[in-house]
Amino acid sequence: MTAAGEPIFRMRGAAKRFAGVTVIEGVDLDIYQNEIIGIAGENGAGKSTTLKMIAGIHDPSVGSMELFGKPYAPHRYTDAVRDGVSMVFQEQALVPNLRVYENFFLSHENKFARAGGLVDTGRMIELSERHLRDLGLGHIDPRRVTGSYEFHDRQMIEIAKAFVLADFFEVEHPIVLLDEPTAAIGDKEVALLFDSIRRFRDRASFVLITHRLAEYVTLCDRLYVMKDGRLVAEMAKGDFAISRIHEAMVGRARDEEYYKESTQRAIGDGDPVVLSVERLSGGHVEDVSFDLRQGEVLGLGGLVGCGKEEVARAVVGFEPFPAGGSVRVKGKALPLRGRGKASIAADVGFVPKERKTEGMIPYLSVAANTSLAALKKVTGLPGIISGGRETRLARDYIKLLRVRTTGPRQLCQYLSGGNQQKVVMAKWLARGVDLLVLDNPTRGVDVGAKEEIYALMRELTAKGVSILLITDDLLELIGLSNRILIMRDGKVVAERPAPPEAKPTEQELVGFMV
Amino acid sequence: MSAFASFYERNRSLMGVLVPFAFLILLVVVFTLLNDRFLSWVNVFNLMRQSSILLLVATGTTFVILMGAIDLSIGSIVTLVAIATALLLRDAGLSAAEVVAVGAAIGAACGLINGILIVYARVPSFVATLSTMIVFGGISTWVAGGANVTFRNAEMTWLASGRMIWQIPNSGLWALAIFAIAAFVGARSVFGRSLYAIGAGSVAARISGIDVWRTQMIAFVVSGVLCGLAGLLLVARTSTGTARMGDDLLLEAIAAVVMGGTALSGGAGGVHRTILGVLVISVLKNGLNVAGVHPYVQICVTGLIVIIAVTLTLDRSRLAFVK
Repeated sequence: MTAAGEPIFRMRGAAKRFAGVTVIEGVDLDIYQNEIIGIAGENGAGKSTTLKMIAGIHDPSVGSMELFGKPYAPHRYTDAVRDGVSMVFQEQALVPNLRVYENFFLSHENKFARAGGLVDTGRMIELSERHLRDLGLGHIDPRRVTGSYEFHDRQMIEIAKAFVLADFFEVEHPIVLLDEPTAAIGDKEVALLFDSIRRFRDRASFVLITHRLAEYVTLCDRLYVMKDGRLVAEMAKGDFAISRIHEAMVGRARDEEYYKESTQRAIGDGDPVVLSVERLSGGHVEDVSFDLRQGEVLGLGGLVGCGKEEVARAVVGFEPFPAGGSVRVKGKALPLRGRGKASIAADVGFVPKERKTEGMIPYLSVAANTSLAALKKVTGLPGIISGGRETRLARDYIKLLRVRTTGPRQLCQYLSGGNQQKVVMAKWLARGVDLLVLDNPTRGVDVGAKEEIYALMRELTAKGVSILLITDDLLELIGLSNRILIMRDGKVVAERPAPPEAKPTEQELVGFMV
Repeated sequence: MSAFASFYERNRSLMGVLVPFAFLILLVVVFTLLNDRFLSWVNVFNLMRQSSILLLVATGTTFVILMGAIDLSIGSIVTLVAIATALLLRDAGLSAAEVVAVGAAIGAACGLINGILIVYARVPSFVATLSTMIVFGGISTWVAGGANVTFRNAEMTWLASGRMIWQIPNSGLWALAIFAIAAFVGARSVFGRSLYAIGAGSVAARISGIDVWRTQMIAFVVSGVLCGLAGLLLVARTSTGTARMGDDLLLEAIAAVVMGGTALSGGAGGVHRTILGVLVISVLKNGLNVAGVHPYVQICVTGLIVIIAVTLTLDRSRLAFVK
């Protein structure tokens, strides 16, 4: 055990690289007994990666960890659990059709083996009941099927599981990692969850990641702030206010050249409206209305889960999408049924967030991916693809977008992220579009390819293509957009023009987002 | 990893053709050594006649497998069309031309039912076609009254066993002609491309404007029609409709598709490659016969060799789990 006043967990000089790209670097982090700490930061700042290193899901590339005074080097999550670290996952990691006690001891059943290979379920239930009672969760019956409990109770079951397993592996004081536990629940459930965490803190330490900054202020004793993969601030309770957390989180320098701001087109009332969304509602999107004019880049920002992605889905008809209200493209209303097809027919292109499953088809060639939305343009005889035309089309776009590939016949899976994204763009350009809906178009794209994609967007708008840009990257949102809408909890809460000479700051936009 | 294994991994697509081809050569050499009549013209034409039915069924089912779906009802569609044809010829007095049209139509209808279950009722193809396999099989036994249906029709016999060109059996000609068209459609048409796109990435295909539902529907109908034509040739050859006569074709066709190099997960391979798998299976069955192996032992050996061949040729690089 560690001496009083010493941290029970230490991380020193931790760094993580994925395929040569450094995601986090030089992270020193301590957790003390009975403490609730938070790790704040923008998307991509490295907070999830840090959490996953503590949980054994990622091995640190460099650096060391210590737990209860001993070296700690888990290689998988079960190692971490055995040593007393548990994680409460955002998408719950409980099997809904198993009973509560079965979930508690899932994959540890062999410790309950009885003669003849049978499992001593009686002892499992007994242990589960005792722990639930101790944690003040007596209302949960370990024999009931997990899926029959409400989301909030299932969250409690996950936290309880951490205590049950810690005790089982004879760890006195477990560390529980909470990865965005409040992302999918309402205010009432959040209050219940926080009450429980406060109650449990005399028996465990907690690490919290959340998108709602106010929650750090309410719950945490100490807060680490990360930016671009590094720790930039450490704040103690009473020291942190939401505004100070923001300041530490953002404040990167924006390079105007990078976003080609000088070529941003001026948009006036004279430019025709290409996309008109009126009173869009459904799911948790509420009453969203806006117009998008020819050649304009309209940026849609907000935290993850604010509803901005649902708005994009409604425009392109990618189910499920909010069904209320209307979406008009060039004056024509898109129908509810078959909206996907109608949207494509109205010359709308969609570059989705998940490039590898939604954007392109990795096992098909560059040529086949390029022609996928424009097959009619490469047919010779009706219904028969002309190999020559398809190759020519692919060559044209490889050249135009500077796609780095060995040729049209190379499979897309062998291209880098940035070049894959260029192929997704090429697919729509080959078809010819008036409106492009881009959902995080530079996610997982290297810096050089990012700049090329930005330049391409400027060229397209110069030709009169309109762009609806949804992005989690604030600098990109500010740098590229003519106008920015910020969404929060399904509603548009702010509209801010962003002409090149008067771009808003990150701090200004974050103020609307949280 | 051994040198061979790493070479194999680096040249997957080449190996996908070479391994079954080498296997085929090996079989031919072994059977020729066992009986020198194996490579005689008589036996080669006999082999063509025997493999024509499997070629049609396997070709049809390749369309479905390319989408990452499966059609388990193929064998029972063959049986249903064979028995219906025999009944129509014996009892209703239809001409050969009429039964060919009706047979193809029954096959199309069966495929349409599969398609509707998958596209509109949203039942996974494995479950949907497993059920229709039982239903179609039940219907054929029922309409035949459980008995064999024998007929006499010279035109039908000509259709399967006649020789239009030189000594080549007609059934082989039909099957090769249809296979050639199907291979072209699979490799070069918009429909064929849609199959690959759906098999390799159905969400991306849908977002790109590929009509996923229509493509699925057509693929199952094509599979049904080709099974119908296979059923016609089968019954024309024997002049007798028998319950369960098409059952063996299910495993043989899927095995032929996989040996040819089409991934069960969809999106890779091709209709044109299926003929290689068909040849391996047909040569095996024919060779065992020529070599004088006891018929019951033949069944066991065929099953064993199919599983060995599939084990060697199945492309597992695309399977996250083997299940």
